[in-house]
Amino acid sequence: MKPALFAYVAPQSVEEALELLASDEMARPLAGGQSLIPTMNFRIAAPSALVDLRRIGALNGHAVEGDVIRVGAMTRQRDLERDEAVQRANPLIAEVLGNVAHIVIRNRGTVGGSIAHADAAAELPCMLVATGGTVVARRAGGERTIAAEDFFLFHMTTALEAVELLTEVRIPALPPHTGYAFQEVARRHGDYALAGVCALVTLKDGVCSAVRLAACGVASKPTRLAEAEAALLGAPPEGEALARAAEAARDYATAADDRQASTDYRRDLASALVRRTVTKAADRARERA
Amino acid sequence: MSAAVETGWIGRSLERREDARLLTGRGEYLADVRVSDCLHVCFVRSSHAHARIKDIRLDAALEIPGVVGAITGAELSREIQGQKIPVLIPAFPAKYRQYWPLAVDEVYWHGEPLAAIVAKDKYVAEDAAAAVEIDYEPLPVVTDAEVALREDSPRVYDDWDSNEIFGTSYTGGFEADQIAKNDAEVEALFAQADVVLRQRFRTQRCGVCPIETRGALAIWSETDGLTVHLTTQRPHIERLALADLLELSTAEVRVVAPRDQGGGFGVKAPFYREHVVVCHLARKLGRPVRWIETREEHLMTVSQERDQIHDLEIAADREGRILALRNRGIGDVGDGRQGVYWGFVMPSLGSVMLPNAYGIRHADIKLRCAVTNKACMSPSRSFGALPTRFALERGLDMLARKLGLETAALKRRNLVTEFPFISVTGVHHDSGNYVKAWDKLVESVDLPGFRALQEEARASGRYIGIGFACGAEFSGIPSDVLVPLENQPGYGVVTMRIDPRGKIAIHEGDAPQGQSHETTMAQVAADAFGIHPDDVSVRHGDTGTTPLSSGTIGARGASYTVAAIAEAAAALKAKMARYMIHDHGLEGATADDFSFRGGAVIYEKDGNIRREFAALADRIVMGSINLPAGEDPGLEHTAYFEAPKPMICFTAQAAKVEVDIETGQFTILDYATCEDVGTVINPIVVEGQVQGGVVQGMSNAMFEEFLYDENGQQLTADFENYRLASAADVPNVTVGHSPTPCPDHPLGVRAVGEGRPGPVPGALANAICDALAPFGVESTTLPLKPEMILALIEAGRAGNGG
Ligand SMILES: Cc1cc2nc3c(=O)[nH]c(=O)nc-3n(C[C@H](O)[C@H](O)[C@H](O)COP(=O)(O)OP(=O)(O)OC[C@H]3O[C@@H](n4cnc5c(N)ncnc54)[C@H](O)[C@@H]3O)c2cc1C
Repeated sequence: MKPALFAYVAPQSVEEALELLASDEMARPLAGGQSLIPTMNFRIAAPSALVDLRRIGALNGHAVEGDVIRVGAMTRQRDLERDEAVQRANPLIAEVLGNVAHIVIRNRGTVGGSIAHADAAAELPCMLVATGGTVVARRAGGERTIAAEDFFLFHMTTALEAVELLTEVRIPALPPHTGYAFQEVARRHGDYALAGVCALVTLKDGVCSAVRLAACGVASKPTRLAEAEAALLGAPPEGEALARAAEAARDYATAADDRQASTDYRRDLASALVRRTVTKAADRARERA
Repeated sequence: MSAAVETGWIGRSLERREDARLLTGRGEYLADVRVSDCLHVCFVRSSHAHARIKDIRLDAALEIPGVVGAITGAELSREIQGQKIPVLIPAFPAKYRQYWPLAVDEVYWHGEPLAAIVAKDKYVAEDAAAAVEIDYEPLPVVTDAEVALREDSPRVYDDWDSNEIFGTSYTGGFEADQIAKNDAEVEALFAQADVVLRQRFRTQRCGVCPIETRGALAIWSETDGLTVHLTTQRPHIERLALADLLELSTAEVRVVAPRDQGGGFGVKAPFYREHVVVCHLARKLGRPVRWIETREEHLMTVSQERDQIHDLEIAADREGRILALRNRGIGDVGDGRQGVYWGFVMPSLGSVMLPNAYGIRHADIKLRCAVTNKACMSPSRSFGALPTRFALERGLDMLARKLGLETAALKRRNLVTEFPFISVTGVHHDSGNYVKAWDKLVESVDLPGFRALQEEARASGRYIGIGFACGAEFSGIPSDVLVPLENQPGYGVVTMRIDPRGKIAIHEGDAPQGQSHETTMAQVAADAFGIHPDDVSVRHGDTGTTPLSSGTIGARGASYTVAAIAEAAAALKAKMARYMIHDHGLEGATADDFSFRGGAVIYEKDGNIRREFAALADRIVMGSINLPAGEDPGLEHTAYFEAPKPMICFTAQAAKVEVDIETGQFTILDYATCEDVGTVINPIVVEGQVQGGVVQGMSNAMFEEFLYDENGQQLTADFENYRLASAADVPNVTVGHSPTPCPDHPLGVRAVGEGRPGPVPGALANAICDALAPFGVESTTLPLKPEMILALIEAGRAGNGG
């Protein structure tokens, strides 16, 4: 199908882009276009203008700075995935990105686009919640930093306002003594997850001194699995504690039955994935020790 | 004349001659055909599954700048014929309903076209289509064939006495008393059998999706009439239909299937209503008009097949020998208004094909087809047979488990061993060696080794399984079958022309969509004349230059059209030999005394008597004096091939899978086939057909599913929701061969194109159920969704007492 008529502008700076967005409330930023263009072709979205962000140098590029990885909004997903410094600082990122769509889509799809799009089943938002990352939002004359857990409000709904641009995503480096894992179940390779779980397990003397678990696909937004984390904290990441954590994960699967899966199936998946990712993360934590 | 001329072109993995242009973006698809001043059509489609059209208002649409015209069904119905003409109607009794290309008064499915907009480009046309205002009065909807067949069901067509469009028995004969007698005999066999398996199997609505959607480009000329470039597998049939419907003389209609088509797989074989509208608009407006179907339209209107239910019963003895079969099939044909196939020809052939390669002597097979408020079923590769393959292949595995037999052995025991064999449904198995191919497959997958591995894996909590299936498929379709089935001929035909420079042109009236005709047909001709394939060109798809043929369908290329090439070559070689005899005074010599090799025609009894192939061609075409007595000049011949009896090809297939019992997900570890395609013209082309066919079967089995809600709203009209397998989801298929040349084909070739997807769902499901045998899992529906598999595991656990 073909999109409805729209204007196209490609500003050179963030300021210019913000001005354009402020002057036309029906205008939308365009990043990699991998989500926005299909919705326009289906005529689900019909923005009056696309403000293409790709010429804005300030939104491109990423760097590891101490214990945080700063990622410009327009960084292509595939570039982040392949960056060796990023892989060293937090290998979880590449593991997660390997599950996002296909390489050709990651070549164009951006990190900022995925976070701003905020699909409840998307992997990057889940990773950002699991790692405790933040999002930098700019508007004319101001900037704010939003914690991932406050940023994602609902499926495809974020704390970002229409006059704001997401300029940067900040992902913490992997803490010491910590193992990581991401796994998902999708119908096909490259599909959005029916359920996905991101696990970060910090081990001290064989017990979990810190655990962060987040899931995608199972609820209306990427979700911390707090009860499952609590079940593991202070315990070894196996046996009884792991079983309790896996059981607790079930209740976070609240998405209503849809054509892809029933709620019950998602509950089963959340549970199995918590068991698997925690085990794998713990193994990796031991390897790193 | 090419420099080094090799011989023996048949059997070589010659690179596809089509590839250079296709892989460098120079293919000539419908959308690539350039014409100036071209307008674009967008169809307005019903948003209701069943409703009366109270009003259509085009005013707002017509006001949009760039809109050139618009037409509704009511207007169109006053300007053309109704769509119901003999060439589009099978020759057996069913309810063939008259309909108009655009709906008039009433719509019967979500997506039915009811108006068309013509505009300067596609964007404007879509804008205008969205501006058309329609008032509907919703009517009762039925979307389930079983419900539709009940007496109290709402009627799709209120003037029909029931929703049954077609129903018949495939066994026993044509008279009611013959059928009753047969049924009673079958019943007696069931009563005596050691074991009876009864199971319902259901295959979901799905099909195949060519990358290139449908389309038409119609050009009207006051002098020449209508030229229409059309995505179609059967340009000649389209031409006859269009001429009749538009009330044009056939002399005024030329249909051109583009040189390249991005897949068809059966989807481009029916006669579609959109084509008529596009042609009519071009004539009416006097300007070229193009329609390129969107993916959404495509998924709403075509590629929908396989929607069948089978209540299958197998009676067998303790050794697993099938004594009798009983089947009650139901086909959900959708609205049942589509030229050539009318939605029910596929399930009907599926029932014919049900007994497959098994030597079943007694059966009672019946089918009922119902119309529903859904898109009409249109053909998909493996035409109608995938559902019945699934049912029987699964059924036999369940039987084997019941009897405690190895399924591969049980199936082998039942294969046809004596040829020719005529099945209970009348399928003629001409020749072959099914058991040999089966054994080769079973050996190639190391069944005993796999069983040992399976034991070990289970001990460590891993579940692997193996599954088998096979398919005895039509190798082309003879007139005997095609005339009653589709009211059109089955013969293969080509016109072969040799020019004075010794170049050969083959003209075929078929319209390939990826079957590599330009390569394999050139190989066959080059082989016959001892010249290089580069000196042979293959032209197809243009009704202005090719002989009438029923098209590229039913694996007819290598079986029928190639056979016609062999016959045309033989006729022209004989003529060339007669000129040699005359010119060189070789009285008493015959055509057999000449060999065609190395670019020359050589008198075998005296090698000094030889002519360059091109020189001899020049002599016959250009040097038209001093002719042999009674001989014409020129080198052109049209050959028709009809096999004395229907021919068959065979595929045996095996899948190995591993199932994750916590998520129900499965991985295909390995997939192997063993093919009997007789003489292989080009191994890589055959391999491509098998790989592609198997992958389509996998995609059908694992992911694809057209869904409608209870109001008949289509829910899967995009590739996000209608899921095709991608390369990452499927393994490479190991293709083996066990050839037995086909005696009724001049080159011994059997076809490969049609049937390969059919056995795949059975093989995969059997492998999954084999892996999960400890839980007693038996899957009986498609697609094989992990969620369903997990539910079956859990049910099995509960049944086993945990
Ligand atoms: C076939 C296919 C499969 C896919 N599978 C997956 C998958 O498995 N998992 C997954 O996570 N994603 C998947 N995607 C989506 C893909 O990752 C997208 O690239 C991503 O979600 C959006 O990124 P983008 O750069 O393309 O953004 P765009 O499509 O350009 O934009 C998306 C939205 O974000 C807004 N936006 C973009 N950038 C900014 C910004 N800087 N500030 C404010 N708003 C902004 C846009 O206005 C738009 O509303 C898939 C896409 C396709 C086509």
